[in-house]
Amino acid sequence: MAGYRSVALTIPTAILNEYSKTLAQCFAKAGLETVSRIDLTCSNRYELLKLLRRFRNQYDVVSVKCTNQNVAAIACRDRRVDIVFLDPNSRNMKFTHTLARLLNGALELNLSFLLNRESGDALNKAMRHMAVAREHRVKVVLSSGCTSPKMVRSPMQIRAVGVTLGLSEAQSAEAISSIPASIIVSNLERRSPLYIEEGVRLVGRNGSK
Amino acid sequence: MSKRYFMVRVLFDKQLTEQHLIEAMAASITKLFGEVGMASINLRLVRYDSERSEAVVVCEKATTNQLLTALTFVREIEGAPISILVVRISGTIKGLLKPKK
Repeated sequence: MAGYRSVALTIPTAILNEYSKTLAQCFAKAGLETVSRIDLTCSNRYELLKLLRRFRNQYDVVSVKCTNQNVAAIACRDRRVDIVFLDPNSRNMKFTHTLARLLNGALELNLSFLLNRESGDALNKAMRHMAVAREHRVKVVLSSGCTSPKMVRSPMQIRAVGVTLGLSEAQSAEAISSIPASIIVSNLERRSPLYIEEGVRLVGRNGSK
Repeated sequence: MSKRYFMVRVLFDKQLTEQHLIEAMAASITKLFGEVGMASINLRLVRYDSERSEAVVVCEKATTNQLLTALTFVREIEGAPISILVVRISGTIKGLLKPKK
């Protein structure tokens, strides 16, 4: 109804195997594809690296919530991380020029943080993050981050929020369409049994047709 | 001045009047863009169908993104959560009501 094609579900590991198929069927009835996503929240680099080793192969999309600058630097540099996001309500986290230069994946702007904001400070912070992202041509992903149907907004509304926060029309449109789609496609390919490493793919075995 | 017509779907558990809807939209615009923004957007509710929870609102073409953003940030009316989903945008009401191909 809202105009989406795919949805990334943040499913806790304990119920991933049990509920992922049921949830996928529910969304398929509404004409939506589903991908699994994990949000990692860590307090230090060791914890983050441990979690990445453990969960990278189980989920289609791996995102890291940056709670401090050290974790943010590691998450931005690590190629296993698809998306990093910073809580705009936390005071000690900033998307700096250094992080923008290190970032391999994409920076996510979660609309739910802005909807649930308590002051205009969160908007101001998001605008500053977008200005840095624009300057360094960082890939940006705009997402709803919704936990209930009342928090769902249409893609054109999310695109407009991106424009209002300082992204260009084109960047904002890519942030809700082609960039998330490319992350999903590359990760699905990476998780396929034919994938060996980046640029190397199994096309056939000796003796097979 | 050219206009843009928005077809919006309102997700709200209680009965919603036209007055409440336009007030919530205007409050969100004023909070985000101020009185000057409100004047430049020139918001008007064209029609509201409470049974289908659908409304048509109109604004100035140049302020389309501002109105979309303001509608995104409408979160609650009198403490009850609400969602305003923009379904379609068009330059004419006729185009807005035309069925999708």
